[in-house]
Amino acid sequence: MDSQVAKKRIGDVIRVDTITSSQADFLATHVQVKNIQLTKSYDGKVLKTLTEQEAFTKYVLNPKDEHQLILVVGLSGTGKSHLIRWFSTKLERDHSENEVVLFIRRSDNSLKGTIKQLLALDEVAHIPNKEVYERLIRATTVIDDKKLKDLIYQNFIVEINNDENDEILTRHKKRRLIALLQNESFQNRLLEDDKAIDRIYQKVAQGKGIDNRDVIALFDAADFYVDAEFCEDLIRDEADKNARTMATSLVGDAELANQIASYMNTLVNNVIQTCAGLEPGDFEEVFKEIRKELKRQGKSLTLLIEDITAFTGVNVALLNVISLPNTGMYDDLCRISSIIGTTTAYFEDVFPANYRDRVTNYMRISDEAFGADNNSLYEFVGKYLNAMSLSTAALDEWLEYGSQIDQFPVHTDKEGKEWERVSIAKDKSLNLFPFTRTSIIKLFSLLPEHQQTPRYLLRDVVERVVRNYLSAPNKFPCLSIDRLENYPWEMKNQIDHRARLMQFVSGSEFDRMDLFIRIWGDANLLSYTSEDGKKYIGGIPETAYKEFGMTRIDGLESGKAPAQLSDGSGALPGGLSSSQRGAASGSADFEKPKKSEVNPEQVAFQLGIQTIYKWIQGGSLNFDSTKKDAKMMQQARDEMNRYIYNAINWQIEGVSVDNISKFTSRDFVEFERQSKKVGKSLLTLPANQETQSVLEAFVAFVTLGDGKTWNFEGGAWRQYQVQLWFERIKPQIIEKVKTFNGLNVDYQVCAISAEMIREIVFGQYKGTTIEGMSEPLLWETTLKGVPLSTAHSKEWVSLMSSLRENDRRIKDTILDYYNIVQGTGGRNKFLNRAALSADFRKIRKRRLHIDESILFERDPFKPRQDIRAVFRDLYGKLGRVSEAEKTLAISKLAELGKFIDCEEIDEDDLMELVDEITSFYDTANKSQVNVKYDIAMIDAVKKDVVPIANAISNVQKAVLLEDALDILMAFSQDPLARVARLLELLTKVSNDIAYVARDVEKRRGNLAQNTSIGESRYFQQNAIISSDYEIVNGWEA
Amino acid sequence: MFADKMKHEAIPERVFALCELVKNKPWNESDAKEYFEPSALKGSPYFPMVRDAASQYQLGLVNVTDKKIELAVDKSVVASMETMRKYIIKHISVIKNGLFYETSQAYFDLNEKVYEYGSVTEQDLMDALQKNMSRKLDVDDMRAWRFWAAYLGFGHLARSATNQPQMNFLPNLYRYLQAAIEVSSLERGKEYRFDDFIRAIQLSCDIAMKDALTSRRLNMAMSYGLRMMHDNGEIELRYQLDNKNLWYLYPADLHAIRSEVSHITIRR
Repeated sequence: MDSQVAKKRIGDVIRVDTITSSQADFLATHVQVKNIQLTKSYDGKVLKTLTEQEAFTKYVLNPKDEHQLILVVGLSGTGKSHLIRWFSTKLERDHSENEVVLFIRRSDNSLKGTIKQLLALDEVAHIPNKEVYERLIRATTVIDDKKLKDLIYQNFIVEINNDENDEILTRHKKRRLIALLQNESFQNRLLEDDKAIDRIYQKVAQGKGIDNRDVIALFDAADFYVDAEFCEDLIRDEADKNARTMATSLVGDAELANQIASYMNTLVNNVIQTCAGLEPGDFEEVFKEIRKELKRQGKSLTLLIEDITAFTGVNVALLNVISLPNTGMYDDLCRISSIIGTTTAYFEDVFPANYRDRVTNYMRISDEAFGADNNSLYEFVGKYLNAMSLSTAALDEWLEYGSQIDQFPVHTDKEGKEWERVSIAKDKSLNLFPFTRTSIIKLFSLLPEHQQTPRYLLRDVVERVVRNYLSAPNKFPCLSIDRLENYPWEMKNQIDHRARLMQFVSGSEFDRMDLFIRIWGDANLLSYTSEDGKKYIGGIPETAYKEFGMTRIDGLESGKAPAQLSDGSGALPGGLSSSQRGAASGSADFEKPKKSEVNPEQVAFQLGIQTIYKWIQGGSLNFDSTKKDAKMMQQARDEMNRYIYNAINWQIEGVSVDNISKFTSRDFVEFERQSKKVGKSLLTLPANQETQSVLEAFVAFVTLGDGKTWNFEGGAWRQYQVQLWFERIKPQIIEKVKTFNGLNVDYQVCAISAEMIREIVFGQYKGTTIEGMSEPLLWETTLKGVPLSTAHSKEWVSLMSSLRENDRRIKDTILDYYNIVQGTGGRNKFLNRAALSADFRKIRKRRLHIDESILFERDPFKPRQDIRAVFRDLYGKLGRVSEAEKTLAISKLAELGKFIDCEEIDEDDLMELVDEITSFYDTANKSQVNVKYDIAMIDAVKKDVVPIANAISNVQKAVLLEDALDILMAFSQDPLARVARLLELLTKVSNDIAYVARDVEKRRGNLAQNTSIGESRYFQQNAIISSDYEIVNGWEA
Repeated sequence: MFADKMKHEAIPERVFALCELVKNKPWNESDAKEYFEPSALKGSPYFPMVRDAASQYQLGLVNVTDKKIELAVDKSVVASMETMRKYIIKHISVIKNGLFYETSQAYFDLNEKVYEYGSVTEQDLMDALQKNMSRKLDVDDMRAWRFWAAYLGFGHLARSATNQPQMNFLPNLYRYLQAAIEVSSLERGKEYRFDDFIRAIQLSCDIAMKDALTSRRLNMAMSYGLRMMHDNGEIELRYQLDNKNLWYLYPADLHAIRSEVSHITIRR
């Protein structure tokens, strides 16, 4: 290649429209068409297979001087135009003196373009019927785009209005159809790009549409599909009733839509002619005039039409006139030999059935456009590459001297001097740089099947690749290739070649070498040194890597020559393997993407590889149990997570087994661009080569290893890749399990703190300071129920109930967290006392306090967060509970103060009090006053005077405390219960004294009414009572 | 654990916990047992096995005399699980005559064949191991082996299959080699002939190099461990053409070091 020349020439040389390229470029890039199938009828048996030269000599040249109508039929892009142009070029040189050759180009494939070509012909310019000639001139007048589209649309309505044929559509239906067509909403739909009106417009207007060759200017049933929503819109817009009726009928009725489309298509020709300003018969007239004129001159006509669709709108007229033989009533017409190109689709869908019998021969260009061997394909590419590296002058000179093959100009190589070449004639070979044979075959096979034609090879392969090279040779190849996954890396004998490449290169360098070796080469890294000392890697000469400035890599010594060097073909160095070469005996046999042998695991594995590849290329990664590929990805991801879970030695890494068991989802990793559940995992794996390799390894594990083993071909290497990756991500995973939101995991601290609160609130901790609490309490205390009777405040009791709800969970959490387990654990405990002591000391030092800001952070592991929430709830209640307890205590002390002086009261004071109470009741009983002597109540105080005195003292101190935890510990042993016992006794005694007083007063009243003896006795009794009063009053003081 | 039978109760974490307890002062056995296995929690039967594994008769981390346990190594050895691991690797020869050592050697010798078995307790695997062993091996031994194998850095534990309780063990001596190199006398940044390198780590790595000195071939676990260090930039392996002191890594065609290796540089 000479890139300096190619940069300037590529645009001219690679013009897919054969007509617009120069004659010299056309001939320099022409590749012989070898398999033209000749039939008498469209579906008929192939009579002969001809080369283009044979077709020309035997038929186009018309040696028998007969009337004939030959259709050249083939799929779009197979080279019909190229062939007809080649016929035309040959005819220009070889036709007889009396033969006039008219070549109608497709030009821009519009009727106006075709008419313009006709007007340029001498034979047309001199036709006697000047009126028709002028109409042709008018038909080429340019009309504003929008106006022309509207004109076409309105003319369809006019045509329907005036159509009296009701065979396809009844009159009613036509009326409703007109109403619908007149509706603005429907009109806008049909006028949209690519809809029917637009397609017809492209065939009428000149210079519209960039590549409209495959467009057929007809209506399609889909043009008339409407949905319920559209109908509702019509109702809302108060559209015409008939329009609404037709629209409603069309909803879901494909048959009616098809019927309408068929009907509309009967009107297309008339509409196009009207819009072009032609009258029915004009075209036929023009051609008849031409034939008559030629007859007068004693000449015959060969008419070459590149594509019949260029005559859309007048094609029937054209067929009429060219199918007329020059005999009988038409003997005033000259003999005509017509060679007309048409696509298969056009012929089958549009070509009038009644004209098919008039076709004398069909020349079918098979899909195998490049003939019977791959050389045609290489030659095709090679000739374009050569032409673009040659100056226009060099090719014009060749044309001038007869464009003979022996003088075929070959450019001087500036790049790729040692490159693969393709031989086109003796001593003529063309450089394929920057392609290899292999790349041509593979890139061609990757085109969609219906586009495996010269046109698309040129546009989507040759032009694309060359432009890619010219824009950045040192980054070449750097282009996206659809369906690249169809050429995966080789995987043989436990060797994953792509993984080896990754050992050497990464990033964009990997991307281009990956593409280069897979498409340009044999998709492996096998190396071979030929007898002449040339080294090959992956079937590509090492010099080729150097040519593109690629990183040097070491291949894998294969010890045997790549297929292209050992198949005895004597071929030039290149990348075509023998299988490809063998298959390349015809384009239909070009090696299609290899299908795996029927091995379900391998098929599944390949599907996984392709799915991952698409993700790496920018797609999303789906996990779904209902779709095959997504399910496999889900399995692979699950296995990755399972691998991580099992491979990390959690305890040794300082993570309690209890902690990791609380990560219930075990979704350690997720992926960049995964479609669902984003942000739920600990680590997001980027869409890079490493992740690709590892994910592929796990796909291999679930497919080739059935999710059980790495014991499959290449398993050890894939396992190594997993281990390498795992060791890299392990620290991050461990860190994510040990922390959350930047905080150390603290649920175990919360659990210990909650348990310590429980021990205090339930009175199991007897001490009064937090410092006095010790670790063994955590397992030595048993869980208790809320007591039935208690002197605590109701808030305290409520807190007890709250603690009770979670006490088992809290205790188990502590013992499980600090248990050193083997495997997944068991019932026995071997405590991690070092860790427990460390945490316990911290908790004690902080006096159970954890900052609210920390407690309000949300731990993403729900079971951990649940424990934290329990503690947060308990901790939040401590202030309220302690205050309530204190308030209750103050009220009790006040009550007590009504009976006794509590200040510095001790057990002796209490003992004395009990004695006096006893004395009171003794005296009362002796005096036969009816008060009940409650020995049990008195004894309850008497035997506990020391604790009661202490309790009073403690409560007196407790109510002075301010810290909630101190208050809780002060009331932990429920001192108010003892205070209450004393208070109960005193209250009873007080009530009994009041009763006795009332009784005494009553008795005195009775005595005052008696005798002096009685008086004397009264005074005695009165004296005793007064004395008792003094005693009791003494207590109260 | 490291004598005739392997005890799965004597896991590394418990041995470390015991060493950590006695690092400042000797403890009575009964107190130590109560400390780890409080009677209030109904006690546990693990303590004697843990004590034995750590004792002078096995790992030599503690001395047990007259019902008293005291640390037998420098305190720094039990500063962390990692320091203890390095110490054990450096002195791995003290358990050379035990079942653990012999089992490990046999396991490494299986190379890729280990992937054929579903779990470390699978009878077929044990049969395969026994072919190269003199002592008898049972399921309990293998259950115990995997804990220490994972701790010392012989490879990764893996669940044998989804929802199956059995564990498999995937060999790769990467982490073991890291420690073996660290505790060796090898200098950073200096290139060694591979012979010299092997000699320097021989004492620590003999457990994974049975017969390697004569065959000059390293097994899969050693080879992949070295390759992983190479790929992570911790060492640099090199093959010099025509070097007479060639060693052969277990083949990995896809790796830059496919097999032959002649020199090594410790990078970090």
